[in-house]
Amino acid sequence: MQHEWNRIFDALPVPAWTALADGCADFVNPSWCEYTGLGFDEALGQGWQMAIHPDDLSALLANWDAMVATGAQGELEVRMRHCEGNYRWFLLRMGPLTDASGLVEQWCGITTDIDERKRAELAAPAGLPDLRATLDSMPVPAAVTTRSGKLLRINQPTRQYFGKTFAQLKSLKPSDVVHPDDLPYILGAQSKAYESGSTYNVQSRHRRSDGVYRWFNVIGMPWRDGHGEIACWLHLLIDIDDQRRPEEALRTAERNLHATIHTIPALVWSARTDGSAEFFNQHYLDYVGLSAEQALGWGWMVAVHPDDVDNLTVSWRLILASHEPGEIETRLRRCDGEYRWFLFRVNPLRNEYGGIVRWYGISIDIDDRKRADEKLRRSEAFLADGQRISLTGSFSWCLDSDEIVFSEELYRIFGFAQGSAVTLERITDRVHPDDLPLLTEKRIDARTAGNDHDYEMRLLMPNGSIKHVHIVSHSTRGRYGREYLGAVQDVTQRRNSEETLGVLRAELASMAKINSLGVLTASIAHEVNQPLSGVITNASTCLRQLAADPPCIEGAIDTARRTIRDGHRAADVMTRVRALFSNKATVSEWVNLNDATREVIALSQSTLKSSRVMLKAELLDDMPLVMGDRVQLQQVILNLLMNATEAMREVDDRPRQVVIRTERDTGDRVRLTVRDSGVGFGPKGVSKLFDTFYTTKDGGMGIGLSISQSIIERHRGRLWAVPNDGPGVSFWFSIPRASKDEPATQAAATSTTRSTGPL
Amino acid sequence: MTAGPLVTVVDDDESVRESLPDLLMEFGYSVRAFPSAEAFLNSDCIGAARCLILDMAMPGMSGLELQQVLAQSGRDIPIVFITASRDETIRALALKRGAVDCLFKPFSESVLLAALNTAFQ
Repeated sequence: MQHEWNRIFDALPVPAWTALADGCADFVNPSWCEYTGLGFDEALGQGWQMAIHPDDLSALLANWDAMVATGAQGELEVRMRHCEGNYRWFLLRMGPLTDASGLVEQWCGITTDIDERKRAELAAPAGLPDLRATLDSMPVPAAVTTRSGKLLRINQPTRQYFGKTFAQLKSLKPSDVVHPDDLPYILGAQSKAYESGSTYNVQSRHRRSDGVYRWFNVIGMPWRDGHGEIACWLHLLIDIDDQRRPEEALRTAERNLHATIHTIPALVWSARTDGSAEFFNQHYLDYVGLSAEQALGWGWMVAVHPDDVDNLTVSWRLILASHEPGEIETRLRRCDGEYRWFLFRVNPLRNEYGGIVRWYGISIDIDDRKRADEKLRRSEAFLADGQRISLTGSFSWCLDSDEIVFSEELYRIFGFAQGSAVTLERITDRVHPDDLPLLTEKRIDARTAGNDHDYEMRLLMPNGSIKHVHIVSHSTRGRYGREYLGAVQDVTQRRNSEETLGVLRAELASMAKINSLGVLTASIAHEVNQPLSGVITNASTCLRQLAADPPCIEGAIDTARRTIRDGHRAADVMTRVRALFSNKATVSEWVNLNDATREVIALSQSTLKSSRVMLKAELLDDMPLVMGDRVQLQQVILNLLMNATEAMREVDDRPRQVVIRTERDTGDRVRLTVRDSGVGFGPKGVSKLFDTFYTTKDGGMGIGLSISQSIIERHRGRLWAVPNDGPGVSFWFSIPRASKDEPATQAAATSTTRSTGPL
Repeated sequence: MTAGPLVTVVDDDESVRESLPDLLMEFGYSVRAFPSAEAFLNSDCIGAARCLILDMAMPGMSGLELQQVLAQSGRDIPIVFITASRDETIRALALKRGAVDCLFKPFSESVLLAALNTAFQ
């Protein structure tokens, strides 16, 4: 501000100076130097006192001290020595110079030559000052008004600036020449000054003749008559527009910045060099629901997600130490408690020497992006996992450029190094030579017809192993022209396991045969051992009876007969076994299902007995014959019977009952049902029942049913199972009865069903 | 001949019931034969029987079950099992439960005699 005052004082046509509180002058204006004839430097400090009449100096200094002590303005008439050595009377006005905020910067003294008036006064006691010469000599716009502000006189610069004559100006209202925004200030300052009689000093804009408003420093001071009464007011207009403009622009910019900072939809803040927060914009405070007092310093940390605090602290310290701009991602708690992801971006503000003064930061809500990123990452991970687990890779093939992109898994399938360039040649090299024609055909099709592809081929790996791959691809129009997108699945394991499964199935089928053979063998052994036991016991008895003294001939004969009978029984068993296992290939003959069933029952007796199963046979009297393989059909019946027995192994709360029924079925068919009261199977069981490996039995292999089914199917029949109304399950098969013209004889059938009696 | 100790035979197989009692009588025992465990339990000779020749597999109560019933009721009758199934597991179980022996059908006279001798020791 000092230089501004100096300008004003420089411009003053009257001697003036400024001084510090102790009265030492630090500035004198040119008028002062010119009048006193003293140099600028000579006047500084106490030097100015040389120009004051010695008789007036003590009064002046006393007044000055009083003024400094009270801060009030004062005035005094003193004599100042002219450069030519004579003294003239001056009215000295002293007062504080304040800056815009009202603080006293220094003190000033302004003089007005009153020598003529004083001399006149001394000669004639009263009179008004003649201001005309003074006014006209001023190089800046100036005006004299009455004590109430009525315009009395203006100088040439005033006329020139406003482009008005005195009369025109006099007729104008203040609002015509003063900027509307400044009008209240200047009018207020003036009316206060008029009232108190003290000077005023305001900055205001005044309209020039061309309509442009320029900033002025307006100083008004009262002019007192010889009695100390205010005679009139002198108003000076010092043009400060050039200084004021940048300030104005700065202030506007600051205002705009302020508004911007508080309204932009981002969290803005600044921090000290130690990282503590110095400022938050309103949006930030609203967002986290904290007051400025709560948030400043390190208070803002309470809104950071607990899991992020450590990372944030470390990252922030690293940025502070790096002296470079930085970024941190962290979660901030919103006032409603929800945490969202933010990107903290921070830049240092440096002073002219490059030192960091403070940090400015902006926190941007990236939650949606972050979540989208997360989702993308996750779905990419899912895809990669999915590809790995399903051994499926994907590829794209741009037809124009032959650019091929493989997924990670596809690199693995082809045994290519991850990320290496994939070319048609490399693929060709990998494909099994036998499948090359297929590959070529597909490539030609892709370039011509552009059909969708779904085929399998083999890869010949460097270690000589073969991979089966299944390729599905479709043509599409991508950004770079037509391309094929597709998936390649490694189906080697499936292929191998299908082959293995075939072998396994065959093995299991024979195992099942062996298994049922084992059951049968035990059963046969049991049936044979019973009569053999009788034979041996009877023979032993017979010997003892004959060896007795006297021999018991009658008893021995009876015993011998029983021996023979038991021997026949054993032979019968063997006959039936031979019939059952006569190693005939599948034969087609007349079969009476009733007879076949009875034989199976007879062979199963011991198993049924030891399993405490009650068997009830409900065989239709007039059962039609069927055409088929007797032994195979008996295997089916035996299997069903053994399954039924097995299913009741755990049953203790009800009779273990099996019913075998034969009956006519619809459509010239016959049906055989084996009904048990066992544990049954769940509602889903039926459809799975005939799967090769499905079983409800703990120890069983379940394979018997699938073999049985294939036998029945060979007899153009159907094998099925239904849950009973009560406990257990009914298995039944239904096969066509023999038609009359089937090429077999009744005799052949009856010859093998001779024995129907129990063992 | 009727003076010997009473041996009971329980077997559902008729040929055994016909042949075994004659042989046992030749050995000098008194014999009663029953077609099922239930028939034996309902008879009046439980207290009198000094030995029981018992079939394993029978409809209704099995031989092993009869053995348990007798043991639970405190009847300490020596039991010789006979069975047409050559099942060592069942045999071991029967012996573990206190049977004198378990004979697989068909068995010889001497084997039977040995078992009976053990039973009557």
